[in-house]
Amino acid sequence: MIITIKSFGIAAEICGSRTLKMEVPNDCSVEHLKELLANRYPALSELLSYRIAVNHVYELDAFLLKELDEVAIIPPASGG
Amino acid sequence: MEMNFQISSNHLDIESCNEWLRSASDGGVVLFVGNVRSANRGKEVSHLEFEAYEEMVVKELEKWGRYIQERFGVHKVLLHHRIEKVEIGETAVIAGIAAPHRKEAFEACSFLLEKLKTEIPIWKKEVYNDGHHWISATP
Repeated sequence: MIITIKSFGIAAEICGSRTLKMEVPNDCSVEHLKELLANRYPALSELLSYRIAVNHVYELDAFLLKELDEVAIIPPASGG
Repeated sequence: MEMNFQISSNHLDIESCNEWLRSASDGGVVLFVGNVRSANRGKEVSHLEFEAYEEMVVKELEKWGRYIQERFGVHKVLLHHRIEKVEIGETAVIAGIAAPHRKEAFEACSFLLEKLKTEIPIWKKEVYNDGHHWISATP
């Protein structure tokens, strides 16, 4: 399946775009998505951390993605 | 429980925040005002640029607002945050709490600011004359 991934802040700079399309297996886990992202954008591993949000909620590695989910790369927050 | 959250590129207004927090039942109002300073990490800062994942910011703030109300027993939670370009000396964030007494108001406001720094998807870019740096992003 092809999913759409939003990215923000330094992650958008690393990925070169605020919206990415990526082909992933059906029932791709967040953990596997992070592996695919690391292969395509090695500089993501230089961040202190980043999390994946699905439909505006932070999700853990075991969470399984669906095609129409709103997926986002969330680099470390720094508001204020 | 009342909550007031705004993400905006417009100037922030402390007095209107104070008025929203005022009520007959709350003796303690704590307001935190975060202004942009001219130097950080030994470098002169030109200005800041903030970016937000606005739909998620609202959901996270509503979640933490409910948590803060239950944990600290406060009545009102406010957070106004600028996005886009913010100049030196301007206000980037106002956090406010209204509670019957000062102790829980201070504690709740401090907790809200900690969550702003770690959980709320807003990002700060410091811009210098010779480049920029995303705060907290890299070691």
